[in-house]
Amino acid sequence: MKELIEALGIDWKLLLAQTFNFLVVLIILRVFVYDEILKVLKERKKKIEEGIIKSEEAEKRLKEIENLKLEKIKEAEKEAKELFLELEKKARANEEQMLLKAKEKESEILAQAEIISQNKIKEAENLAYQNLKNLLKTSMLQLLKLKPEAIDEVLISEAVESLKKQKNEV
Amino acid sequence: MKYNYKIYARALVSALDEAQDLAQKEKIIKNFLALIQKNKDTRQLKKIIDFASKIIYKKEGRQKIILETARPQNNLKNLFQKFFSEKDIIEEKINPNILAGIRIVINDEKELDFSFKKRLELLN
Repeated sequence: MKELIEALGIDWKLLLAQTFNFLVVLIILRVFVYDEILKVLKERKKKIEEGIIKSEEAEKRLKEIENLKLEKIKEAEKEAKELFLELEKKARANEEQMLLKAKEKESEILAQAEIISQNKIKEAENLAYQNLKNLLKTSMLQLLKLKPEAIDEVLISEAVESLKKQKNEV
Repeated sequence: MKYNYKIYARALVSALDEAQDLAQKEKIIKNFLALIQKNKDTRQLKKIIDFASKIIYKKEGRQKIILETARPQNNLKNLFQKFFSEKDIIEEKINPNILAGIRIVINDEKELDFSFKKRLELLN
């Protein structure tokens, strides 16, 4: 063993001195630096943990906000849809009402047109009847000019027949 | 004082009813005409005579029939006589306004219009 240590070049004294130095340094570090470093590390760890927690909270909040946003969007979409349906319903009702009014108007116009048409027909009939009467009158007057005696004979015969009939009835 | 033609006519008929003979009747008529002249009612004379005739015809159960034609007709009275009583008085009258045909007026009340004018009016 001694040979091996010597072969390796280790000096016992030096080793002990160095070990002693190391221990002194270690004690000094332990007493003066370790607690401070530990404290700093702990604080840092705490800060990091707090940061993480805050970050998680922020993320959570963000998600909540996102959810809220989605919810609001959904709500708005729903409201918009309802509004749209309502408007569509109103528009249909209006359309139906307008259609109904248009039909009523159409019926009214048709009825008026029918009346006008009937009046026109009546007017045309009256005019034709009047023309026919005038024509008949003219023809009768022409006939009167040509053969007044013949007309006398016919009308006097009619009078005789009428009186005969009256006498028979009595 | 002015009298209505109906009053004159009724008075005349009433006076004639009381007359005993033709001479008396003539006297009544003469006096009546003088009264009309005195009252200056000669304008009403035709109306008076017509109304008096009406009253007399009614009393006697006679009718006055007027046959109106636009121009003279042959044998018109005979043609219509058979439809009326022999007592009835039938008169012929020319009225160019009826244009053609005949208009029979009975007692100025009833009318049978077979005139051409009436036919034209019916066309209006």
